[in-house]
Amino acid sequence: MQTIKITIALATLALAAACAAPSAQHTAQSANHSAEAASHGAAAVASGAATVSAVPIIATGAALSVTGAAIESVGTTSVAVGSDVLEAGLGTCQTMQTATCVAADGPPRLD
Amino acid sequence: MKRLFIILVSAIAAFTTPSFAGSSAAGNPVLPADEVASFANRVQRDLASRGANVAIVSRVGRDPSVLPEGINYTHVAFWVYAQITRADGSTGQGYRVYNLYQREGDLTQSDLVQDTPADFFAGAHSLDAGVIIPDPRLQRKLLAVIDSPTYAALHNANYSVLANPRTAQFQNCTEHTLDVVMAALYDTDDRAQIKANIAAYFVPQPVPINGLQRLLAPAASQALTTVDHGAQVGTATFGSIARFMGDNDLAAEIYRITPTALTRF
Repeated sequence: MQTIKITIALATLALAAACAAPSAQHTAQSANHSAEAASHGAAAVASGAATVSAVPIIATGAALSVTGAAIESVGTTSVAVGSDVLEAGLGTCQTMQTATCVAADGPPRLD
Repeated sequence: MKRLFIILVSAIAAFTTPSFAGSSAAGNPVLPADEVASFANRVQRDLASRGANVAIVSRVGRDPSVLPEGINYTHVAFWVYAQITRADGSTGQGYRVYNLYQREGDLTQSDLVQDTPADFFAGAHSLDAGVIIPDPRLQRKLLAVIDSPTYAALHNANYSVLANPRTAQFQNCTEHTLDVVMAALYDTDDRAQIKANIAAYFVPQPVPINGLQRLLAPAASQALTTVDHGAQVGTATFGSIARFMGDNDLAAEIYRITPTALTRF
């Protein structure tokens, strides 16, 4: 039975890697290059400032164009540690077995 | 009892054949942080030089030789060109990554997490990314969805590695990406409608897994369940999303980027 347990454990490890967050081992290594942003978070909390560190560009018609010239190099540091966690709506998701009662729209195409 | 033992061992051994499994997580190499950061910047610069406001980027999280045939990338996320505010208050432009990650400590659940390009590649097995730059019109629609409550509303925290993209019972990172693409494409936040459209027009990547493997997989982890599938198992992958977008003229560019090369699919 021990063999089974070991094999199952290996299978779990082998198959459960999809969509995995960076491993704990690497997270430890990442601590240094995330230190800048981490300290930013602490400072922001202390000062009462907003902790949001990145603002996605919003679609505003012609303002979408990007020249590419302004790209910021992060060097060996992480410009913004993954400290901004979206509200994931945990526990509120609904499950649905099938969608057979809903008719599909037309084929996908862009206007 | 002895026969049952033999059957179980045989089945589990079959389950762990190279088509699915391989080295354990502990065997995965961890790439040097400076190389990861350098590659992340290469991808950022490449995307920015192409004027990409939104891109779908994938990484290789495991040795490809142990992945099922047709599956090369294990994680997919949206990269969004954004204004970044640094610790000193200065700002610059860069990409913010919108992920769905398995939850540490409970792999049957997931969370939506934003991180950086360097963080995105931190868990990579190799510096190799698959990239889809959507058509600019679709990029605008994607931005609107990502910036709206719909993005989180389309998240189902019930995680399955092999989630069936045609149903909403489980979800993985690739399926959430596909759901968001469909929401943007059809201007809808109706999950049932999104699933109906996926069922009609999206072809999942077939996954070769036999009945015994399907039976035993949940014993290893509930995240390996396939109860949301019919006779055939198929899931959303970077490749299947790339084919869908390419076949329907929804992508401006689809390519693979490594530290030294850029190859069009």
